[in-house]
This record gives sequence, structure tokens and C-alpha cells, in this order.
Amino acid sequence: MTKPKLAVLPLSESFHELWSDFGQEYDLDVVEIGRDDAVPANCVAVLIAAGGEERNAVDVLVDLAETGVPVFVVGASESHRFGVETLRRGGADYFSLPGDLDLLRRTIEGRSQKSAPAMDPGSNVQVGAFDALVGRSPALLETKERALRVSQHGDVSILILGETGTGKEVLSRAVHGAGPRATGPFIAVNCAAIPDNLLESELFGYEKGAFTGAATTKPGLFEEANGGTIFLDEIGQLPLTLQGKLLRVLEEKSVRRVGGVKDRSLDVKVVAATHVDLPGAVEKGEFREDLYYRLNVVSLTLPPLRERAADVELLAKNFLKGLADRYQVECPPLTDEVRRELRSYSWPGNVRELSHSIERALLLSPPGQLDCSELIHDMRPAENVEKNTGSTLADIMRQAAVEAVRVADGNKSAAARTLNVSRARLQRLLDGNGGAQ
Amino acid sequence: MARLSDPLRRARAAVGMGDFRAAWDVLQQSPEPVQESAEWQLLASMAVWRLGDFEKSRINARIARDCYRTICDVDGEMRSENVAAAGAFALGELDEAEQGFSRARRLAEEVGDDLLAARCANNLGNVHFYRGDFVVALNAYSLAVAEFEKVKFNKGLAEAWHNMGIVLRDLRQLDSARAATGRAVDFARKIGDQRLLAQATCSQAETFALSGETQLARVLVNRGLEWARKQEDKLTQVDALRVLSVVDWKSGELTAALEWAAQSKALADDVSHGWMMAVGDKQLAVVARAMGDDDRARLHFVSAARGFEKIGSTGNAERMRREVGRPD
Repeated sequence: MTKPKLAVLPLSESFHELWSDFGQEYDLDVVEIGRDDAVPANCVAVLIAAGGEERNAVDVLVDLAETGVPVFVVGASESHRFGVETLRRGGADYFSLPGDLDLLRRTIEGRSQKSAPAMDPGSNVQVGAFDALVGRSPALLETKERALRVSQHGDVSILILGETGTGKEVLSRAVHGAGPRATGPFIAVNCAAIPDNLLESELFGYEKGAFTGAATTKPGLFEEANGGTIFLDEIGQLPLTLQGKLLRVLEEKSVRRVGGVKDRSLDVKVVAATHVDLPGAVEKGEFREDLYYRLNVVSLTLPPLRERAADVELLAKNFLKGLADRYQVECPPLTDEVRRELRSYSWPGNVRELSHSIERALLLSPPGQLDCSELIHDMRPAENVEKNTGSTLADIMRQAAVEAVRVADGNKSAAARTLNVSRARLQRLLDGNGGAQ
Repeated sequence: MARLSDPLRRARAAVGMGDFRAAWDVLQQSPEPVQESAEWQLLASMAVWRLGDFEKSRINARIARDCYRTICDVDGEMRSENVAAAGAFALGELDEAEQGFSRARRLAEEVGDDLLAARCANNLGNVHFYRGDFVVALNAYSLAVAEFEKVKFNKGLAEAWHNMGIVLRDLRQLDSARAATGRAVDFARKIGDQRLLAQATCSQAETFALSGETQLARVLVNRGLEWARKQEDKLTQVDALRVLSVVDWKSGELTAALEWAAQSKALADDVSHGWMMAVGDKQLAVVARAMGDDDRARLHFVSAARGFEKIGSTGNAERMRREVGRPD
């Protein structure tokens, strides 16, 4: 049986001895290739040795990336720009030596042991951290492949886009679990769920006495995520005042607690997610453009379920199995009638809605069966709507906003989420400016 | 030496097996010199906490902590701090509990005891939850989940996800609550903890009820109640009866809802559980108001406010007073 190979495309002579060290250390055949050469079979990775030739490296990257074998660019420049370009052109990672040497070693070691999640281009099934993302549709597979590539880079920020219920947190956990930070903490934060007055202290921490009620010093969630990943869901709801602070954290890799004077260095990967149109929010002045570009170094898009029709049945089976196990009931088969019902519905609530439907049907159906009538919620609009006569549209919208805030115990961010509007728009509704956009 | 260390070894073994009565018996019979040791104090604090004497537990734990600190035993100090904080929590001294659990957590991180750090994060979540600081509690539980995941401690994960489910529900993040309570059920089943499984199932039921899925809720809460009765777990029965009231309230069956709420409160009174009594009054108030009986609702909101205040849950007490519409 031949040894796995490590292909090296030397654009410069820098670090030449390192490659043969890798070969010995990780039991790999190191093979030098030229720009026009094919990637050898049984190759675990391609290294473009680019010390001083970083610009040329990203040019040759595109063709190599199409082979499906991970391509790493190894340069001398510490400029963030080359890392971004590498990923944008399909590369798996950029390492700046000597600073990233340990990370490079771990990456090559992982590739040589095939300990990273296996990616067989011929298979529709991925193993490992991405198991939770069930599906074979081209749209999902494309996202998973891209996610797997970027997961190997432990530092780059990721922005996950997708409608509500498409699995943004699931994808974020998968990226964390597949990457070099897998043994570190994964902390999920819903930016829309935390009132503005608490968000800063919770995210960034505070020193004792920083404000009334700060009886002890408390590290923030960013510090708690050190060595791991912080997942910022609903990033579009982050108030403008805190967006600047987040940008500083991302750029300087440090955080200053509320009331603190010391900058504390951070080693945290940031993954953000949103279902809102962030470029649109930037245009309206509700989201900072510089923060948007900083978060959007790599973006991953989760397709809505209606664009993954082929996956509905697979997901349904998967949910049935898990839920039957949870509730210790017999796992019923999917009859043709149920399959038709599943296929005919558009699933506006996406994967979450499908999961809830399966759960309801499983629990309310006779044992061993799945009753179609329990499967999909009645989508008819509510009939008992109180009619407001004589009120203007602005009045009606303001009343709805006021009620939403009351139900949310004064939490405007939560109320905005309930109404599916931005927080800024909620404020305009409360101010009676309901017609303005 | 062997004579001195024997009682401590036996007490330690008894604590390890969960036989706290036996541990306390051994400790009480120990010679005086042994009783002056830090370890005796720590073991005593753990045993009497479980036996319900929280004030004594706190005193013993504080003595142990100070002794360990003097001899620079960080591990002992950390464990003592944790037990002292647990005593303070049980006594409703939430500020002291928060400071103690925070210190214990920092010490645990220093010595690399990830499991205790995770437990302290979970305990801090409980402190914040009792205070009514739901968002802060949620973040503490999120940390606990992250840390329990790190050490792969399934029992901790079951508890932390269960706690997260409750606070997410109180924050009205019902989709997230549903996911969290589901995970709690999965982990509880995995570790075979029937008591936690019954609790988590009832919690799931309440989330379904608040989401409008009353049929599902009814299936699950009846299951949870049955399990709780089989295990003679009165606390979970209290909760299950309360959730039955929630289900009927959301279904519009108010008379039945009131009856279940009354049963729940009566059982909570029987077991003298402060939190359950306050929550029981709250549910009675909610149903009474739905029935248009404002006087009765007010009575129960006031009673709930007093109950929450008694256990240091000032945030919840304040919420109840707001419902009444005037200060107590």
C-alpha cells in the first residue's frame, strides 16, 4: 500500500527543509509539482510554498482548488489580505511562517491521519462534525463542502446566512467541531434576545463597581470563549453602539471590560449569523459597513427547505428515528401518503418546522403509524381578529408594537424579533412613525 | 495516624456513595482532633447540606475554606467555597452565593478542574434565575453547557440543558426552549436518570403548551406525572400538576386549570418547597385572572411576591408586584 502524499508547489525556496520534515514526521511522500502538473493520486494536501510570492500563489490556487484536494498557501507575509484571498479563491487556508508553524503542523498532521472529517467527492454522505446537517441536495452539499474547507482555518470570521429555521446554529457547531478549535468551548449568543443594557456587559464583561449592581468582576462571553468559538446569532440586531466595540474586538483580537482599563488578548473564532438583509441594513445605516465586511470574510449560505425538496424525506426519516428514540416509541414507516404530503408543502419555517411537524405527528398518531392529518399545521389565517375601525394604519401598527413590547416584558429586542422587524423599525413604530421605512 | 484518618476515609467513602446520613454519623463520632481538620469540616458541610441543615453546612464550609486557604490548598479551598455557596443559595442569600460560586469557578479554572468549573457555571445560572435575571442566567447556563461538553459529562449536560429550557421559556424564546428541553430529555434518557427524565418531560410539556401545542403538552405531562408518581418524587409531581394547569389554561378549560393549580400548590405546601409554593401561587393567580376573578388573582399574586421575596428571588417578587399593580 503506497504512502499518502503531500504535494508541494514551490514558488520560492523558503522553508524548503520543512517539507521533507513533514514527510518524515507524518509518514508522507513529499512530491514536488509544477504549476501545470496534475495533483497526484492519494494526496492529502497541496502546499503552495509562496514565501515572498504570495500574489502569484493566489493566482495558481484556483485550478488546484478545483481538484477537491485541500490547498494550503504558505507564505511569509502576515498580511490578512492573503488569507482572505486564499479562501475566496477556494484555498483551504493561508499560513504565515514562522508564526503559524504550529498550526500548519497540526493541520498536516490532521490531514495525514485523516482525522479531519472525510470528504469523499463521490459520496453524498459526510462523516464527523457535519453529520447533523442532513441532506444530499446540491445546494446543501455545496455549502457543506465550503464549510468544511473554511473550518480548517481556526481564525477566520464566518457569516452564516439563511432564513429562520434553516440550521444556522447547527452549521456553526459543525464548523467548530471540524476545526482546530474543536476541543475549546462553543458559546452561542442570541443578540436579539439580550436587552441592549445588558448586551455590552454580558458580551465583554465588567469590572467590579463599573456600574450599580456590579458587585463582582465578571468576564464576558468573549473571554469565556477563549480558545474556542463564539456564535453570534441574529447579528443584525446588534445595536449600533456595540457594533463598533465588536469591530474593535475582531480587529485587535482583544477586549476591554466595561469599567476596565486593560485590554485582554483574545483567541476566539467569531461566527455570526443572520436572516436579515445585511447589505440593506448597511444602506439604511442600521449596520456598520466596516463590521459587515469584517464579519463577511467568508460567508456560508444555508438554502431554504423549499430549494432542497429532495432532502425533505431524508430529513423526515432522520427526525423520526431520533424522536422515536427520545420518546421510546416505535419508529413508524413513511407511507406514500405521508411522502406526498411532505413533498407538497413549501415549509416556510424550513427544517425547524419540518422537525416540529414530525414530532407532533409521531406523538399524536397511533403507535407505529404517522397520521397525515397531524403532519402539517392548519395554515388558514386566524379568524378572530379584532377589527379596528376608525384608526389609521399608523395607530394600528403602533398598538401592535406596544402590545409586543408589553408581552416581552419591556424587552424591545425580543419584541422586534416577535414582529419580525428590526429594532430600529420597532422604535419608529412605537414613536408612531409606522409608515416610514 | 491510622486511627485519626479512619473516620475521614469512611466518611469520604460514604459521601462518595451518596449515603450522607452514614457519613454524618461517622463524622460525629470522630475524635476531637480529627474534627478540627479542614477535611472534617468540608465533609461535614457536604453531608449536612444533603440532610437539609443549610446553615450548619455553610458554617462548616466557611471554616474549611479558611483552613485550606491558610495552608494554600487551592483544591480544598475551591471545594469548600463551592459548598459554602450552595449553603448560601439554599438559604436565599443570593449575593453571597454568587460571589462564592464565582470564586470557586475561578479557582477551578486555575487548577484545571473543568468539571467543577462547569458545575459552578450551572450553579451561577441558578442564582441568576432565582433572582429573575433570566438573560444572565441563560448565558451562565450556556457556559455550563460548553464546559460540560468539554469534559463530556452527560449528567451535567442533562441538567444544564434542562435549566436552559426553563429560562428560554421564561424569556419566551419558545423554539429555542423546545430544542433545549428536547436535549435535556435525550441526555436524561442516556444516563438513565428517571427523576431528571420526568422533570425534563414536564418542562417540555410546558413549552409545548405555551407554544399552543396543548395536545402534545397533555401527552407529555401525563407521562411525566406518571413517572414522578412511580418514583414517589413529590417535587416533580408538584411541577407536573402545575403544568397540567398551564395546559388546561391554554386550552381554555379554566375550571380544570384552577383545580390542577390548587392541587399543585397544596402539594408544594406539604413539601414546604419555597420556590414551588411561590410558583404555585403565581399559576393560581394567572388562572383566576383568566376567569375574571381579579380579587382572587390579586391575593395569589401578593402571596407569590411574598414567597419569592422569602427565598431571595427579588426579580420575580417585583414581577408579581407589577402584576398586582401596586407595591406590596
